[in-house]
Amino acid sequence: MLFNSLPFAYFFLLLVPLYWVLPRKPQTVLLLGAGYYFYSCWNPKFLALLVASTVMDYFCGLAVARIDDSKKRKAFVFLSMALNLGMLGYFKYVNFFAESLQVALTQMGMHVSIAHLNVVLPIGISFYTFQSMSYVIDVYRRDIPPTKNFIEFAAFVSFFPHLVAGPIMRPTTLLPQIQNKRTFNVGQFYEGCYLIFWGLTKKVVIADNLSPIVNELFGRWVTIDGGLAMLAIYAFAIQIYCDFSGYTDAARGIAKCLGFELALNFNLPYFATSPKEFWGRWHISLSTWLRDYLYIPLGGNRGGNWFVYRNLMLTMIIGGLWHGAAWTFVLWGTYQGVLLVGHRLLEPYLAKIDPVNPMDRAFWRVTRIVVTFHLVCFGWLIFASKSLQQVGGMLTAIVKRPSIPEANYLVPVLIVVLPLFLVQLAQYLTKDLNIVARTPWYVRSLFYTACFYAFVLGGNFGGSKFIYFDF
Amino acid sequence: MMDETRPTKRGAWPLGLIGMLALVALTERYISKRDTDLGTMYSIEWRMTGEAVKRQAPLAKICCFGTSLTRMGVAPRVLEAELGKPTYNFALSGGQPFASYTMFSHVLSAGGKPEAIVVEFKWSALGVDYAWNERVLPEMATLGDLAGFAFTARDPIFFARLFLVSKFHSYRCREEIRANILAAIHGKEPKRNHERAIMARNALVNKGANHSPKNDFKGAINPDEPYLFPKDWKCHPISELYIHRMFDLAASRNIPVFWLLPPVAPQTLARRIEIGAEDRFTDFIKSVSGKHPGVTVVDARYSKFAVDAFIDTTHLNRDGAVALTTALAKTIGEGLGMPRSTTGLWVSLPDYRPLDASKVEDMGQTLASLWKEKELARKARR
Repeated sequence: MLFNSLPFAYFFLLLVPLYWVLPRKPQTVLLLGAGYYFYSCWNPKFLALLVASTVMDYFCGLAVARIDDSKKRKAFVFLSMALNLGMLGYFKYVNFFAESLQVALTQMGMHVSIAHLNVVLPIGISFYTFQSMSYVIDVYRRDIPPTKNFIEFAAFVSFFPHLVAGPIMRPTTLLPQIQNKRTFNVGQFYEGCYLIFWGLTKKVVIADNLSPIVNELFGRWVTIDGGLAMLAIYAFAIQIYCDFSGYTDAARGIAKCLGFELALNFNLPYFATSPKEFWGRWHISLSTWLRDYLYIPLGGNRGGNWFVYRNLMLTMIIGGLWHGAAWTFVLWGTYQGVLLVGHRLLEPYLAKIDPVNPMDRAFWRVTRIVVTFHLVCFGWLIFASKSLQQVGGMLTAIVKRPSIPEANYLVPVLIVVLPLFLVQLAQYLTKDLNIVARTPWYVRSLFYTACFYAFVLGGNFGGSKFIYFDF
Repeated sequence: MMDETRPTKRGAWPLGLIGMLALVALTERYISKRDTDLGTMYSIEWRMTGEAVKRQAPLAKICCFGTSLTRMGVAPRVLEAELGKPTYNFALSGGQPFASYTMFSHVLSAGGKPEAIVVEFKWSALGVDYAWNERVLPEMATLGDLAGFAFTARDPIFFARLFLVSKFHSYRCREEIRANILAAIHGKEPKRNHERAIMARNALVNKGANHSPKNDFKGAINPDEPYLFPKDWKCHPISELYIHRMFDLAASRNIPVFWLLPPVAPQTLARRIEIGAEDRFTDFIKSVSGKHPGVTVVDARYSKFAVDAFIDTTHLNRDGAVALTTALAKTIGEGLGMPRSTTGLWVSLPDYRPLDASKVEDMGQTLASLWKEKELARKARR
């Protein structure tokens, strides 16, 4: 059940009034039921995995809190990690590793046939396993007390607005919201509706209209010219941003309508002035999760420079692999790691360039934004490509066959991207993501109406799924 | 970093939202007044036919329902001349049984007392999903009709889509608005304007029917065309249900039904016979009509209509329409004289015989007269 579908609209319109007329405890039961129903709409069989992960982590959490023996406590944390990562590994990576092993063995002259398992990736598994696992780790670290109420914990893991594509919520922020009484707030509800509307507009109007152009151009990588190759990469950068941030905006909006606050996941990422800043603005919930549960445990910024670089590289490679089971994702993660390490090395030199003149400062800032955007775009080329040959092919086209993109591709891309750019520019310049909400009512009315008609007239209602559902 | 937590000033009323709703309401009203310009040929045809019910239903003694095959192939003027009874053609291009049933029930509720009805269901419209007419249904059906349809189909999502199409003119006409915007960007006038005027005028002259002039169709077919040559044709159960409902409704008012099976072009028929499509369709017709004694099947499929009676693989031109309607009129005339219990018959129409079709105006003539009027108006302005 996709947010951009009529079945979801029915589900939500039925759920919301019922939810708000119930007292807190039945409300939480309803939330749990809604979460399980929402998840089982994709494939009821995989609900068992979600329930298994929930039950295991609930008991692991209780055990970790009750036991004082540090070895036994660690054992329960490992048990939780083994179960969650085992599930993730089996469903997401088993064929990838098997195929890679077979290729490696073949290259060494050993011809071994490793069976390809017919495994379907359960939707959202990368998200809920991380969230559920982090609960046990937080209890282990004594950041939060374990919840004794299984329904509340299960509602936390299966909270449907962010169940399948995040944002990955920390137990420290979401669990108390489930445990505490929620009261209906008109302002919060209104903000929620606006976020749903804006998120779906980004998805249906921008991402879904760019999708066929991106697919066509990436599909023609052998013969494509440089201008179209560049356009394909730019269009993919906008598509993936609008697709994913559209989903998380809708998820945050839906949560707000139910009285919850989910974490901000995107903060104008393409206005970042460095790779480090980019990762502070893009998929923030994953970046912070990786920082707190991987980078810092690996040693973080402690130790010498080489340790820091190693930790950065490992974190980003694992982050890349989290996105998908393919070597292009490993390469993408490695590339992001290299960017972060490179930036760290260059940072002292960049800090020296600190123009005093406001015009020079603005120019320097714009230059850094443009450079960072292109570095990120190169990463998207790796990310979107099906093979390393495709990466090479697209790059060759850009270098050897430069051209101005044809108008029949360029114009549709500009038509959908320019309005978004103007809104984001206003947000960036005012340093205010809620700039629209702070404009006079008639400006808001015009903006909403423009979005509404962009949605109705320009929306692609094919009901395409969100890109991050595959991760 | 951006500030998302800064509180926004909010009054007691969400004025932005209220303003948007007002603007949307105004825009929708504006579009609804102009959706004749924005509609497609089909949507305008469906709306015109729906609007004709109130005016024509109380007068018409013979009512025709069906698809474009009937709209182009049955000439009310000829039926009137042959039978001496006022006739109107309520057929809708691409119409599925629900559309025909709805038109028929609207005719009855508008005070219509037809002495006979002619119905036709094209195999392609029967074989596809019941949502096929989604875009055009609200042009002639009420929200109550649509809710009933969605309830029969047990499909709440379908109802939601029908509701959106029904209530939001911008959503209903989105493809046309997009096409018009693109045409405006390229400095072109939407091509459909004059075609719509011809269709509307021709339907007015021909009492709901549209008749085409002869063209250069030579009968060629594309054997791979899936809709013409279905490998495994089956009527959708919802469509079958509405055929039964339509026949039951006619029986409840004691109205004889003439189920017309129009001809198709010779090569198309030969191919359909070869792949067994006609046999499957015949079996279906027999199974349905066998349950309704008031239904007479009028089979013109094997009446050897010449290729020059068609404008394409399935639609008759004016000559073909006049020939078919003349033969149909005879059957209706004979059928109307019979007691009801004996009308459960299968009548094969005689072989095709070209007749004088000059009394029926085709769309070529309509175009010419429109041009003439335009010229006269221009001269008068000078």
